[in-house]
Amino acid sequence: MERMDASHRFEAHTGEVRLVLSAPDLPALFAQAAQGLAELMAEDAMAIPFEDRLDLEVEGRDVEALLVGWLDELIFQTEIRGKVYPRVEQIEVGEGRLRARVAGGSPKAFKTSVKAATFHDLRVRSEGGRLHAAVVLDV
Amino acid sequence: MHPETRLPEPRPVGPRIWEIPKSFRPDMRVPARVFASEELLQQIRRDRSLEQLINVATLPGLAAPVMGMPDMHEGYGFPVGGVAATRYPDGVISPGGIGFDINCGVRLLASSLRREEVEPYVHPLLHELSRSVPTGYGRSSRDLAFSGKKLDRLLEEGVALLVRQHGIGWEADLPYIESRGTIPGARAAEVSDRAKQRGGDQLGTLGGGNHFLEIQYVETIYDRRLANAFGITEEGQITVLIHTGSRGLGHQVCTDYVRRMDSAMHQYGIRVPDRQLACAPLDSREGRAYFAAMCAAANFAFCNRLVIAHRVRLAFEHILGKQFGDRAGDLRTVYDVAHNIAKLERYGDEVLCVHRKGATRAFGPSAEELPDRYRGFGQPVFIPGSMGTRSYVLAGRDESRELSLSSTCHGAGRAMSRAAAKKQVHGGELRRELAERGIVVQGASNQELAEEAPQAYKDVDRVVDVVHEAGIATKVARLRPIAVMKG
Repeated sequence: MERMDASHRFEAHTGEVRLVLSAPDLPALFAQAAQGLAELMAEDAMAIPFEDRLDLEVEGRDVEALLVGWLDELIFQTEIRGKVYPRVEQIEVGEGRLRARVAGGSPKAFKTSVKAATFHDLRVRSEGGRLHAAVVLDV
Repeated sequence: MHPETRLPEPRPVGPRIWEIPKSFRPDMRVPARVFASEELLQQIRRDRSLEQLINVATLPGLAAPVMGMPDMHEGYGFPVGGVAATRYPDGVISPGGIGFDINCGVRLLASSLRREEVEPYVHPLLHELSRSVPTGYGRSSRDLAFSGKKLDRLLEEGVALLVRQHGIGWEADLPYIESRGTIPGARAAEVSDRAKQRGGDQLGTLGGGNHFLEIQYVETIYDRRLANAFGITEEGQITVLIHTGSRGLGHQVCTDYVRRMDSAMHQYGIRVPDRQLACAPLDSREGRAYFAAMCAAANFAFCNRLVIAHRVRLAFEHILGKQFGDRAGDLRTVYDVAHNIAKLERYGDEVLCVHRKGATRAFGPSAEELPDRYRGFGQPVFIPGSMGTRSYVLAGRDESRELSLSSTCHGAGRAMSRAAAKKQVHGGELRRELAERGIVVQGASNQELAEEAPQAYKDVDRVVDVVHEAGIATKVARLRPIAVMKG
């Protein structure tokens, strides 16, 4: 699911961290969100051996709720398993539901503890044929 | 930004009190008040916290102006440093108005040891503390992992269970914890299995972010009468400040209920300008369930700080017991107080649900809830400064009921993003500077140190001066760290 035409970056926020996403479609946007989150939480997240796989399912009443639910699911899995899941191997994003297979493993070291994703200022918008979103993460 | 939000110009309405009138935006139901000096107000205006406070002023059932404390900064939904009181039972409760770290708070322990007695042992003491109090994603030891009915009892019975059945903490600690460490109305059944799974083995852990454990000494006493009442007897006395909350359990409770209220709000005809302000009436099914789950998470946080205090006492005994005997582990709880919580409190004929997010309850001397020893003096309030600077002990005043719904600030308040702080501050140099000032820091990389640098925060002296001058709380003492364990 790694797409060269999708990207993420972190923007300044006084107290928290804003994850800014851009991708050509929803599956790529959600995959990029997983990668960004893992990079925030762990050192060298993309360099870890991807030896653990999880099948995840998330529901949400709209695309914004799905995105928050998706990030919250990954935060939950990281906290209970002590692993990060930066790689999305399969993903289907439908009306109000997302199914995905993610791959990850134990990082060398954790960096930032992320408590949750928020709805604050969140809107997935389409512009110039691409999707854009910015999610504030409570750290 | 809300389409109708211009940059507000708060007008002065009292000493250190500024107001944005209800007429500022058509959807505001009450005015928004800010406690600040002119200088702090300018700092507050640099981020979006005023806009966020105005958004809070649109919630249904507000009983009084919403308020921003002098350490207010931009959050998500509610600003950090925000206070909002809704009428019980028809007003709303908003999980975002408490935040993800339910009952994040601080506990101060006071020792009879003096700075010069402890300083030679700071390194082994910090080492012992870092072995016994996990940080970051660290988990507790197996003997403290709670699950099933055992965890449910802990969530409902709070610290009393730990003291009486597990021998953790002292019976004498109980009166000196807000609500005696057991908030009535907690129901474990309203806490999801996921929340229990996430936090059940995190008791006694510090977590990450700005959480910390500090060994300090009393640098200055401003009010000896109040200080003596709190057991702070002389300059040079050693204290320990613990700052943490309900860990993953509380985070998941907030996550679960923001989501649930986001879906349920429309049933109650509620619209909010920011979805993170999702809320439901206090007497609705969702409102009652959240309140019961939040109280359970708050009890978990009181337990978390109790376990950490217990381990601090053991660490002091272990490292200092030979030299100082019983004095080593004799660390008395001055008080344990929440700064992310909603409480039902009576104001005149009304019961209000006071949301405090990054704000501390500051009951005055006549408050009935105070332990006997503090009656006539006021509730102790602790205001940590930025890492390695100084913290304050204050005492709540009766005037705070009218002025600020018995609420005060909770810290210095961030003034700069973490990214900006890392650009401006060199973590290695900061570590050297702290060491030169006799402050040892454990558990933080140079980058993490830079994120929490003093420059990234407002000046805690000025924040505290505002609440002192506004008549909300009285300055009692100032504490300086000698060792910091960062979460």
